[in-house]
Amino acid sequence: MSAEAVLDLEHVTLAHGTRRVLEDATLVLPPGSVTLLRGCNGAGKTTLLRAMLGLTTPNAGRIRVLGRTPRAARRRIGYLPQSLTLPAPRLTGRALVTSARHGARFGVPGVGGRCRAAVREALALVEAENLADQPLATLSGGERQRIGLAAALVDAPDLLLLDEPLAALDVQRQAALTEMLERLHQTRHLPLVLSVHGASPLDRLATHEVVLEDGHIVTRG
Amino acid sequence: MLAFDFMRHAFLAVTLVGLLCGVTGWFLVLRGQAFAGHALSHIAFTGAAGAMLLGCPPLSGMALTAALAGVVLGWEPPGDTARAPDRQRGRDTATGLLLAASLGCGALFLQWANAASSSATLLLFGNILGVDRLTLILLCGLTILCLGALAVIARPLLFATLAPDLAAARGVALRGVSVGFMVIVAVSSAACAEVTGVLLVFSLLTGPAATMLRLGLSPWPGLAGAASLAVLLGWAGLALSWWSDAPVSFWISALAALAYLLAVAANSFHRRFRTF
Repeated sequence: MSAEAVLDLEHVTLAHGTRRVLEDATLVLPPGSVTLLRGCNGAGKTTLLRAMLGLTTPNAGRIRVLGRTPRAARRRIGYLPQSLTLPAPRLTGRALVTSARHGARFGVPGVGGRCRAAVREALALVEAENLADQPLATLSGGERQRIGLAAALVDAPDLLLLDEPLAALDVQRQAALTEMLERLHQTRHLPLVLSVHGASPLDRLATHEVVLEDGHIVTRG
Repeated sequence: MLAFDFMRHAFLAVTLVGLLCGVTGWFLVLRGQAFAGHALSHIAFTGAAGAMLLGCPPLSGMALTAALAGVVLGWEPPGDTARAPDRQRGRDTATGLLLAASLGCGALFLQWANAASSSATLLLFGNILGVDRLTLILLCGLTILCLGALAVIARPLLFATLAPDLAAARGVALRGVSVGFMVIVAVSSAACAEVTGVLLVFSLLTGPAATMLRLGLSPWPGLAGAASLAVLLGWAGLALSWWSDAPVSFWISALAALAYLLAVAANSFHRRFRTF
């Protein structure tokens, strides 16, 4: 587990297009925390997650993630977007997870033993070994979510960001994914930042809650 | 058949073109950019026509215009990757407009150069049986250059193709990778079109790659399969053309389509077989 604060916002103003979603926000999320980002549609949850990854630049203020700038920290972050865009549905989940393992570095895609072992481990963590060799097109939303989670975990991240991870799942699969995330947090001491829309099964995991409302942050420990 | 120099050169040329088109085509089809590949080879035709008008070697015009078009077509608009379908539509529209405009310019250049029909035929259908030693050396150099460049960007390119949002989150420069890849495709198309003609380049770029992807092969077997199939199609096209007197491009494009249909049938049979 990293000893640095998961997130440190200092007077941050963030905009989505022309609309300001966060105004002069200051916030610190402690190491090892599980934080729920709660807010209605368009409240800026995804924009804040994207800012943590360095994909959106704040209009004002300073963002530190794991003690670094977002761009420096993002290789230590696992990320699962709200809906995983999969332009190559005929390839398998294993190809996706393997690519996520070394895709940020230049060179020829590797098929070495260490890479294969890391992919196997990530798939095992999310109990997706039996799905790994099926084309992505044949997987259900929940199964794709598990493959996406394996891709987020394959490089042993120090922080996991999940954007509305339960949004497309039925009640049974929501419970299963919640249990999986709880196990990941407990066994790997992995800090989590999870965006949610309303009341969610993820509530019971949370050590912190950040509510985004009219461009302001309301925090509850 | 192989007793003749021109046939040996032709076999070597389709081997190089097959390797290059098979590998670049696999990424191109995987990224859903087959139309851009088609457009690039036709834009290269316009460049060749422009070069002829200026009295320069056609290959120089082809490579330059195709590379410039590659930068334009590969330029990813900024923003959220979750809006991929909208972006794909916008990209296809831009590609279509660029293709139409460049073909119009190509026709105009050929008219100004007083070289309309015979030169256009040569550029569109190539002259695989007229490949000389110098062209082979040039083609070999460009094949090594393009495959080398592709090897450098292969990991981020594959990641950006399979999961653009995850790749962006991990710091992959989507725009840089996209532009780099399209320039490689452009130079490959130009190099191959000089030898085989723009129509045949498109067959070799898309046919073998689409066949391998239809079979659901993972990246390494898919890449190797696409390159091997492209080379085999080239060899078979040359041999059948020798015996039948029909154009090489006819045989290669027909065999590429047949290979794809067989892959569709095999895939469908495999699915049905699994359900029983």
